[in-house]
Order: sequence, then structure tokens, then C-alpha cells
Amino acid sequence: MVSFRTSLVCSMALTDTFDSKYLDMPVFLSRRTTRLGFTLIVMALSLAISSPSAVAQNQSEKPDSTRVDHSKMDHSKMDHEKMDHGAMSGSDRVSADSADAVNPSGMDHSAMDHGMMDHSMMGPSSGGELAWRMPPMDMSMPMTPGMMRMLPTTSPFLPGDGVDVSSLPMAMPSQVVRMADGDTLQLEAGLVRRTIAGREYVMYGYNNQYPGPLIRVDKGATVVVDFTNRIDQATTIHWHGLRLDNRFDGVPGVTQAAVQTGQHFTYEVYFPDEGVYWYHPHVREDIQQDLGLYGNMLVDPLSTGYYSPVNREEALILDDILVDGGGIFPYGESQPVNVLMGRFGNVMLANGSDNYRMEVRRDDVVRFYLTNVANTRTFNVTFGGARAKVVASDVSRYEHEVWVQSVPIAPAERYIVEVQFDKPGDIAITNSIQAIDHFRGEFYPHVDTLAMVSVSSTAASPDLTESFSKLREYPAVTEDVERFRKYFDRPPDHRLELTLNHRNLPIETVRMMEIDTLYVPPMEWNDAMPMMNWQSSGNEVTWILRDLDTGSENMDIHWSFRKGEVTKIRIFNDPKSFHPMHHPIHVHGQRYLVLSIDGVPNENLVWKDTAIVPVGSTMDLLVDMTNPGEWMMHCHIAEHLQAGMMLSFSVSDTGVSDHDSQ
Amino acid sequence: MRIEILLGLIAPLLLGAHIGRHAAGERVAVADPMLTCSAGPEYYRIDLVSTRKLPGTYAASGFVDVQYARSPFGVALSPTGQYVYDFDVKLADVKAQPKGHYVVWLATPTLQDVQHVGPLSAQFEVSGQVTFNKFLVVVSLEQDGYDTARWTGPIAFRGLSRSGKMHTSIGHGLFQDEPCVQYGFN
Ligand SMILES: [Cu+2]
Repeated sequence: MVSFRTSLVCSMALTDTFDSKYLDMPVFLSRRTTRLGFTLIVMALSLAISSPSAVAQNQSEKPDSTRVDHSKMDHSKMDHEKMDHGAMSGSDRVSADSADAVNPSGMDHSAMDHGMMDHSMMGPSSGGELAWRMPPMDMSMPMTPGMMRMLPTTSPFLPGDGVDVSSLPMAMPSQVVRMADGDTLQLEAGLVRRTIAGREYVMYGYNNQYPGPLIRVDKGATVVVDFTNRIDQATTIHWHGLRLDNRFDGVPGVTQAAVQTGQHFTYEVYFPDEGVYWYHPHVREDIQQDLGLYGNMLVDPLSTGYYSPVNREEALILDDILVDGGGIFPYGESQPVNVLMGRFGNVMLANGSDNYRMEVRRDDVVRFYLTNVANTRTFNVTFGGARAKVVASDVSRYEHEVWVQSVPIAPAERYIVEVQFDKPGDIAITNSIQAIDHFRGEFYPHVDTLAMVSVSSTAASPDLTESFSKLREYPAVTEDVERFRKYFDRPPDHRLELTLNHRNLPIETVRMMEIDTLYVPPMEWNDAMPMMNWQSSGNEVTWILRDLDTGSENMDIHWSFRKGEVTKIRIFNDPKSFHPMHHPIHVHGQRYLVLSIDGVPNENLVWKDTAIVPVGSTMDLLVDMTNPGEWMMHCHIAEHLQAGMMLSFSVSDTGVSDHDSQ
Repeated sequence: MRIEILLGLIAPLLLGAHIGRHAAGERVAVADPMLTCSAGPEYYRIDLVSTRKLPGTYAASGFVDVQYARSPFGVALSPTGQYVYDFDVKLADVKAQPKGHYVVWLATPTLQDVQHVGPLSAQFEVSGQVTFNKFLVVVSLEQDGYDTARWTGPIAFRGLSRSGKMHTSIGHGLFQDEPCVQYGFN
């Protein structure tokens, strides 16, 4: 324990003053901290090969002057391409805890020539095959020594193994596909070439587009999607948020068999509700969705006046991706990695682009259809101070519109927001958060640009300022909700607890997790512990939905309902678990109301299919069970879902004729 | 921990009572015996500790109850990403001072930013909203015409937001059973 503490203190000192001169002068450090100094250097190298733009952003956005100054580092001698961090793939966890393992070569780090650093000491040669490398991470996050050379217990995976990249089609921006009732769309998932931040990557795409085609239909339509799988994994398509026929919900093993490579599946997709929805695979979302398999569906209302008039509409899909100098950072092959917090990317994407721009006129009112498709990142979206109001969310409009200054949006959530850009010039749509540095126990502001809006000085036509200035009420929503009000105060029918189990995690991770147990943030806005997160795979961590009434967990839970039944589910996010984290909880095929958080009633109701349960909070959901079939309820953080955090329920066709019969 | 504080903290749990907020915005107690698994507001509750500097505060106890402010998104956030919390300050077993009144302030840990919440009511209660990442709660004794920029009178009670307990591993011990308790942060 003493040496653990000592090393933390010394690493802090090193971080405070990290400068190239210290690379040559670790004489005042203990043997253990020399090791740490070395590990920090490895981190520095790792960071140096990570996305330059991400690094630049980190530098400029951190006000804390004691953080590492990357600009002072001499990268000139570093030969990043020679770095081989590893090849310790496979099921054995390799620990560097023993002194021998730390420095097997007897290298004298006091006089290291980084250009010649022998990283083969970190593991056997990979022989050119895909190997784990250190995740790109924030330089200011020191690690305990023993963790630095641990690797995930699953092999690394990237798509397109053995594929000639030049043979792949270059992906194109998404196209809008207007479909009428009965129309058929040929949709193919395939390998594509993508350019992100000036570099080319092998990724996935629907119809070679990023995002996939935007399917635009009228409410009430049913369209046919003839799907072909041409990626190198089995897949399905889940039509997120739609109350469609259960057979087409796209859950492998529940509603269909996974579509193998080269095979087809025909979906009939029904659109009963207005709003913005999205489609994505329900197989290894942590990989497939992250690599570009997602697209929007826009369901237009049948009546005019459903929305306010706007000058333009913009479907904006928010995402992030994790890349470094070696390309896309590998995924776990048999199990996801980054299972504790989910995989945070270091390049922000809007509609698949790291440089998304749109042009508007002064005073234009723009209706944004926002969708978050990131594996785990929740965004706090701002519009450069422009006036904004939230109109609708997942499955309906709100009872009444609300002025907002930002839009917090968790994975899989959607918000429809109207914004008026009244000042000419460039406006940045940003993700503005208070990130956490767990080691320093500090919050720090962090801003990423998601997209740019160029506002011209030409005036909007028509000028919609007057109608935009009013907040509308939607009595139709209130009337719809009214039918359910009698259920609001009844005791919950089901009670869930959100927690996790872990086994065989590195002792360093377990130790580190005991730090700062006095405070757990309600939400994780950044990856504050990238190494621990990365080293935690589905082999070690199981995320849990626990039925508090039966003790059953995850897929051992199977609730039964009848069509027309209204059920109240109370979800408690245990703040005292090993790693508490917020969870966006998604219910398939039905719609629900968030009745209350921590007992405070929600007085502006909206129909949802995904909502955030913050750490320590209790959320009451009222689910309208309208749609028969076998359905899922799960956390929409891709890695949490993959690590078990899901349950199933059935809705029988023998309906309840009247809600009063409950 | 003083027994009355302990009871004050546990009683709402035992009773299953919690603080709700109704249409007009004022707090209403909602009895819900099923809400026994809830941690939320209680988890983010801030204890107020008497400095024992003023007569009439020795046996007093108090807390600040924290909830997310109303938001169409469930979790209320500022445009720069801070949580927006509504809070209620409540003191019990405290005696009014013959001269002056208790005034509640919030301050960032460095005291760089100070927020004037206002004087406690005759029931020793006051409510407000906060967006500080970490904050101290200070109840001071102020005289009429006090400066609203910051407190000038003696501090009668103080507390620390739960987030304030997330401190550097260097400055304090790593684990919660280390010095924090001695500092009076339970
Ligand atoms: Cu989750």
C-alpha cells in the first residue's frame, strides 16, 4: 500500500513537470517510480501516435496549467511505426506486477533513446498480425504501474481482414430515400472505405453510405427492406423505436436468426408514430454500429401544423470513433473491451463526418432531428448561444415546448430541436461538458466541435421569427397521456436494480476503483480511466439488470404482459456498486413515459423508448404495452448490452380491452 | 455522528417519505412506501455541520436536499455541462439569534465564486438552484444591510456537496474511511 501511494505521488510530480529533461533525469525517483516514469513515456508515445487533432483539442481545452504540456515533448526521435505494444492477445492476462517482468531487458531508462525503444519486451512479436496496442488516452491520466502492460483477455478485431482496401468502394454521404407505403428498399451492409480526419479506414456501411440512407416515410406506412449482409460478421437490423411487427425487430435468437455473411432477410417496417427513429444492427453493436452501420428514419405527420414552420430541416446523427496512428483502435473479438464505461471515441462525428458543415441564412429557423448513435458517449449539445427549443423526443412531441440552452442526449435517444440562427458568421455546434479527472479529483470543462453552421448575412425568407418566438403546447399529447394518468401513482409492477458483477479483474483495477468512493458522478461524460476500461472485457464484467422482486438477473428475467396492459417499472441505479454509471434504458417495440426521477414528478411528458437513469437515482417508467411479441429491454451502451445488461418480456395477443381491467 | 442527525437522515428512509415538487414549484412530501430502494436525493444530500461558534446552534442539525432541476431531459445540465440542482436547506433544533439572521451562501471550494442564496425563513428553510461542480454550503450570521457579495458574519454551519468529496488522491487519503470523517464530512 505504501509503495502504491508513493508511486501515485511521484507520478503526480512527474505529471506536473513533465518535460523532456526529465526523460533523462529520473535519478530522484524510486525504482518503482522509474518504472512509472517509463510507463508514462510509453503513454506519451502512445498519445503521440494518436489523432493529432484530438491531442490538440485536449491541450487547448484544459485550463489546468499543471497538465502535461505535449508541445514541450520532443517527438522528433520517436519512431511510432516501430512500436509493437504487444501481441499478447489470447486468453492469458499478462501482468507486469513482478519486478522481473517490469524490466526484463535490464534496460537503463535513464538514458533512453526512444527511437530505439525495444517494445518487444512487452510481449512476443505479433508476426504482423493484428495486435493490441495501448489505447489513445489523455496524457494527464497517470496509471498504476502494474496496469500498463495488462492486455484485454480477448483478441483484437478489426474488419476487413485480408481484404484489399483499394478494392473497397469509397463511402458516400447519406442520401434521403423517400418511400411510400408498400415500397421496397434494397439495403446492403458492406465493407467500405472511409476518410476521417484525413485518414482512410476500412469501415462498414449501409449501401456504401455514411450514415446509411435516410428513410423518409409518412406516418402509418409500411415499407419492405430487402437486406443483404456483405460484412464479415453475422448481423441483423433493429428498427429502433418503431412499434413494428415483432418478427422484424431484428433481435437474433429472439425474433430471427442472425443474417450470415452473404445471406438475406426481408424486413417489413411499419411506422405507427411520427418522429425520428434509427436503424442499426443488434449484433455486436460495439463493433458494427461503431463502424458505421446506422441510419435515420424520419416519419412525417399526416396533418399540417404538427410541427411549427421552419426554414430548413437537418437530421444530425452524433457519434464518435476511437482512432490512433495505427488506424481504428481494435475491438475485442470474442468479447467487447471497454466494458466498464463503454468505448469513448476521440474523434467526434456528425453524420459520419469529422468536419460537418451546414449553411443557413440569418434568422433561419432550423429543425434538427438529433440522434446519438455513439457506443457510450452522452453529448451535451449546444448551438453557439442561438435560441433553441425542444419540441419532441423519441416517440412523440412534448406536452409543451421548452426553451433550452443545451440538449443532453444519451446513446439511442432522439430529440427534435428548433434553433434560430440570428447572428451571421460561423457557429459551432459543440459538445460542452464537465469532464472528470478522477486522479486529481477535479472537474474540468471540455468542448468538442461537432459541426459548423455558417450563417450568411442574407435574411431568412420567410421570416419565421414570430412563430418561433412562441412556445407551443400540444394538447394532443396531453390528451393521449391523460388516459394513463390513473396509473401514475400506483405501486410499481416491477422493480429493477442496475448494478454489475466482476471477476478476475486486475488487482490494480480493483484497487483503483476503491478510490473516490465518496463521490460517484451521476453521469460519465468522458473516459476518465481509459486503461482500466480497456482492460475490462466481457470476460471480467457482467452488467446487470436485477429484478428486485425475484432476484433474477438479465435474460433470466422474463416478464409477461397482455396487449393493452400498462405497467409501471421502477429502476434504481445502485450508487454503491463496483462501478456505478448512468444507463440509457431502451424498451423495444413499445413506448413509455418517464413519470418521475427520484420521486419528483415529470410535468412535461413525452413518449420515449430510451431514457437515462443517472447514478443513485430512481426512475419510474410507465410502459404502454401495445405491441404483441417477444421483446427486449436493455441498456443502450453497446458494451453494457454486450456484457449482459438486457432482459426479455412478452406481450400476449390476448389483449386487455380496457385499461380499467388492470 | 450526532444521534439526532442520524435519526434525521434515517427517518425519511424508514418512513419511505421523500421530497417531491408539485406544479407550483414548492416542495411537497410524497409518501411512497415502495420507494425504499431509492438513493437519489438522499445520496446527494449534504449534511450541515454546526461550527459550534454561536449559542443556539450546538444541538442543531441540518441538511441540504439536492434534486435535479426540472428539465425536459430528465438530467438538468447547464450549457457548459454542469448539473443544475434545485436544493432545499433545512435546519432543525436551532435557535434564532437575538441580533441578525442566518443567511445561506454557496461557494466554490476556492471561494472564488460565492452565491447568495438568502436568509433562512422563520422555519429555518430556504431553497435555491446551483450549477457549481463542487460547492461549500455556508450558513452565516449576518446583520441587517449585509453585503450580498459574500458573507461577513461568523459561520454557524457549513457543508460540502457530495462532489466536493471527490478530491485528489494526493491531498487526502484514497479511501473513504480515511481523514474525511475527521473533517466532519460523513
Ligand atoms: Cu449501461
